[in-house]
Amino acid sequence: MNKKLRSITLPGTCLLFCLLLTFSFYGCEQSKAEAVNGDKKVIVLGFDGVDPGLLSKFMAEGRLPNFKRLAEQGDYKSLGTSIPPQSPVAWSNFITGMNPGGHGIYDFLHRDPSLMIPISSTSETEGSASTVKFGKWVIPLSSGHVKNLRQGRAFWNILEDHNVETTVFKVPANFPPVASKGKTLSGMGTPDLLGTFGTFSFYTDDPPPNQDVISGGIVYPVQLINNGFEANLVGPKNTFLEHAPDAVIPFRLFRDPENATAQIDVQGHKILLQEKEWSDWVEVDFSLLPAGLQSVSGICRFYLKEVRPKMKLYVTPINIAPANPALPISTPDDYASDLHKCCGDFYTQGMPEDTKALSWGVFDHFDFHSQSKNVLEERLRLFEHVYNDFEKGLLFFYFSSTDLNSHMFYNMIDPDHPSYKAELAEEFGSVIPSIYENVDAVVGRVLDQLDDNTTLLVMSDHGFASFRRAVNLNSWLLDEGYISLRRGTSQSDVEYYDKVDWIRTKIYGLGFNGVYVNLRSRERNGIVLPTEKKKLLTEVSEKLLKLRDPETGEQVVNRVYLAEEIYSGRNLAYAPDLVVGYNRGFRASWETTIGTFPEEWISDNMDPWSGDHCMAAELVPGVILSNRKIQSANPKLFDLAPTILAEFGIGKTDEMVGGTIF
Amino acid sequence: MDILNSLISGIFNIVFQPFKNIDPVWGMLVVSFLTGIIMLFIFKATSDQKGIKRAKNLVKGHFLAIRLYKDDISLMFNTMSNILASNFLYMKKSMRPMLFLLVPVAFVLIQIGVRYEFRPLNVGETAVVSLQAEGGNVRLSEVILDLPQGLKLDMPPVRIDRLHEISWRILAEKAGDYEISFKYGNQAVKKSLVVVESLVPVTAAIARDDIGTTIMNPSESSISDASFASLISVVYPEREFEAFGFSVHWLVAFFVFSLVAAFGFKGFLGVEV
Repeated sequence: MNKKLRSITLPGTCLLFCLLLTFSFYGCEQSKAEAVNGDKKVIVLGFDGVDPGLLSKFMAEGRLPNFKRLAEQGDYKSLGTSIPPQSPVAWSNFITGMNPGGHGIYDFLHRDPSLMIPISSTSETEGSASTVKFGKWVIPLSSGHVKNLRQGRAFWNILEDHNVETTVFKVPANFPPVASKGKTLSGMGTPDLLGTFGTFSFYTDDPPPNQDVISGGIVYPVQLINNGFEANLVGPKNTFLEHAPDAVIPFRLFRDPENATAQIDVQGHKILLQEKEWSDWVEVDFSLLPAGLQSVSGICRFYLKEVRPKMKLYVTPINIAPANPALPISTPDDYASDLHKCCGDFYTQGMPEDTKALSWGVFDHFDFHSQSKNVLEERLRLFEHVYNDFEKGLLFFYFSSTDLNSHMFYNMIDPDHPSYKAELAEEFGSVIPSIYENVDAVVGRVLDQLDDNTTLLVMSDHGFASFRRAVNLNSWLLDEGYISLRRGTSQSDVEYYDKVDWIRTKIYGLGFNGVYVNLRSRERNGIVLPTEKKKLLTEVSEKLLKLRDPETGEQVVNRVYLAEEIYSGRNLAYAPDLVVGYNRGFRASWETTIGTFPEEWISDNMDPWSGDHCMAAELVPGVILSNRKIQSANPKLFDLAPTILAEFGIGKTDEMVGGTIF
Repeated sequence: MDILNSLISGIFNIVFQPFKNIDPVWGMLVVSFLTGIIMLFIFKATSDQKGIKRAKNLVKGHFLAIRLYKDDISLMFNTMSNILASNFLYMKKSMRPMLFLLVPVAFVLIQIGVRYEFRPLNVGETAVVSLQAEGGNVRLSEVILDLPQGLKLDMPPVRIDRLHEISWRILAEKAGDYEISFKYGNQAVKKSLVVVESLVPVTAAIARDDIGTTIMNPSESSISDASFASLISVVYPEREFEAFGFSVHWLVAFFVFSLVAAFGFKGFLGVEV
């Protein structure tokens, strides 16, 4: 070998050696990751709102053989929920292993202290920053975006860092879904095509007197001519047009002259329905630009509520079409369309059960029950597919039916509820037990195939209680002199705090459990000095704990939590100063959550939304069942993320406040 | 028209016979390939092959000139106009064979369409069947739908007087190739309804005095001139077509497969395209 060749080969050999060394280390790292991953499986079934009291009762009655089997083979305990026990907060605790101080979600609603109005806590939408106009057309020069406001890493992202395969189906508080190498579909918080949490349409020739105040839906009065009417399906705002009018799709309905049947013609679809019948999903395209240059796809279902004597047609909120999503609802982007290929269309809206339609009298209990059965059947079909597709790693699958049916049918199982009616209870008293039976079958499906390498966690985010009395917290604060209205303002005229005299207001309630001091240098017109804050909070807390229901003498508030005592972390900006933990049976009224002031500070809750959980966290725990023994005496929601990580041999992060339950 | 339809449908039924019960992509692949090759023969027989070759060579020659004389601006402009002229010549030469191809390709597309645009019903599925009556003299309440065993009326009909239309929803209980009958007084008209899980032609509509509907639905005879019905339609489910894992419209698949075949075999068959 000559000298020149040797001079080339020596460094070359060294380089090769270094490369081999690097690759061998890389290989070791890889095999370490694989060792973490292996064939281990963790299956988490998330049943929103399953209550330990009801679960134990139904288990004792023999209604839930699979829950019982799991409890006997492994373990069953109450699961400490979040403070406050609201779904977005609770599920964020679960997702991040943190308390709200870490993930920054404190309620369904937050407030913007610079504007003093309620805002969504979970996501934020921004339109295009710059546009250019051509006549009536407005062309965006940049795209808008939707932002998930939850802070903190999702535990499945940490699993993915260690090459664990993940499938996370409809976990709440994950819209838009955080970037993930796994398969995720967004859940609660996902809007409909209008950008709301669900806006139904109701076409009728007999509009209800309350049509102008209905929230969560729009009533469209129609006039039947020759047994038919023409109307529009109203879609998203067309931001390509000046003043952004609604994009619409015309449709026609014809009813038979004698039969209780009707035909709906919409965008080339011909749908035949009988009274009290649902159509399948109908795919519709809202045209935004001419010649098909831009359109938005949606899906909806029609429900022919009544044909005679009055015509009543309900249309579900226009859901984002899973086959062609207008907004990001899954990772990877085509996961939603893959699910569509195998299972057809499905509700993509975060909270599909239309509780608003029942609350406002557009649905009766029969209608709501039939709609919620559709949701559950669809979810069970999707579960079957996702579960069969699952091979290893993590599978999380979420069911909403246990929660929303408990909200709407709790008065059927509570004879002390002010809206309890024996004849209705006879017909619908079995709804909640039967939903529990349905999810029991899901537990059985998984239990039957469980192997030694699989950990099963069955959990709920909170429990349930009857919601008998509605507390108008802001009215009470007004009565007590903590809130002042502008002079000459009638209490009933206030909406969204618009007539509150902030320079004479010390403290106010917003959201379901939050109370905020009108703090100088934080709130726009804050008057309370930071040095006075503690004294004010103590004073209000003591008064709240002494509150008694004037009708029954019951204690209204069970616990009052000081934010600084319960929250820790880096995201305290939106934290309320006090969290009100209502007693079982009491909850903040709908009106008070958004800054309206009914005359009475407490009243009977006559809304069909008759069960709830926005109470003291200790009174409404969730449940945890597992095929493994639970060592922790008081497991809590934020323990589950560290527990799942530990199942794959991965340590929890410094920000996580919980620990493993096994 | 019905005789021509029947003849062509018969030929395509034979061609598609081997692919009835396998993945529909294979039928599409073979028929598209055959179509591509047959199109080549037709193109060769009906075109001025020498003229096409000459036009193509002219284009090539002008492109070569652009590369060689790129510094000569006036020659460049001159050559570009020559390219344009040669292109027009090429298009002119291609026009005649294209016109000859138009009709057979249209028939092929219609035959593929009746198999791939919609699919037959599966057992347990429903379909909306509508009858449009001729004029306003037919009393819709007296139109009777007669269903064979295996099909069931799923709900009472919807009669729309102002459209002279009556619609029924029919449930498929058993697989079969059915004939449903519509009666009005002593008149009767029949329409097929297919419930099967295989690749067979489905007829979405039959019409009276409507050449367009008759051409587009060649597998079934049109409604006789004396009938009380002017149009009978069945809303079949759309067929979801997948070609080797990719979800594409069948028209796209047809054009891709037939073009691949045509370009693949043009050298072998000595066709100048």
